[in-house]
Amino acid sequence: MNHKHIFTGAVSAALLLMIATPAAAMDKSRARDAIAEADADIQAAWAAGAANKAPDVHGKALTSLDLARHQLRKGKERRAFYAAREADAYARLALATAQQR
Amino acid sequence: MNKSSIFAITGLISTLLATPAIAEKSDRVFVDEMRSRIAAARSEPNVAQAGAADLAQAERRLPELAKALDDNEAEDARAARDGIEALIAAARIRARTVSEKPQAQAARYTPPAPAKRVYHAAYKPAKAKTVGCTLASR
Repeated sequence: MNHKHIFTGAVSAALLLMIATPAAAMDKSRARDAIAEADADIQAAWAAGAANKAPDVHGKALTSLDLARHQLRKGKERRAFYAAREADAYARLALATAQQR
Repeated sequence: MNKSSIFAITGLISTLLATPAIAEKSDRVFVDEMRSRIAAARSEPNVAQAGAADLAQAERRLPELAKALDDNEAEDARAARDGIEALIAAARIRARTVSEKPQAQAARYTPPAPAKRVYHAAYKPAKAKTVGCTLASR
């Protein structure tokens, strides 16, 4: 009876691990992709002169991108993903503002 | 077990059941509000054309916002909301840029100066100068 319980526990743990590992890897790659996308958009905004024409929004984008990288290093992929998405949105706003002025 | 304790337990259970349902409803209301803000921005002049990419990106982020709200991740939800608002603002700025361009071009336009009329004096052959010294006079 005892052996049966141990076996059931081990199988459940293995199954959980099999499900959880790809999910965690997916979260990490998703966060990395979001960071790369935000980085590219910030570079584009900088090239359009956003650092001078929209310094506040461009600064917010850089701060969010830094936060995303920091969270990814800490292993908080989900938080990193959301921060990167925020950085990307601010970069787009900075680009639009720079192109207007 | 007396009547009041039964009443208290019943109240507690119903509160426990009702709270997530109320939270879920308020989450949905908030996401719907953001969706209607995107739609309102789209209905503004030039925004649908000039800011199409930004508004599409904002719409793609609504499920992310809903997920963050469902999971009670306040910081993620704030980031998602701020991102959507930034994208709506970007779309509006692009629309303003498009509508301002023709006006700016019109202001910059200066009509060409009328061509100057050049009056040519009638050609008069110069008088033949009398030569002071000729071969005959020598």
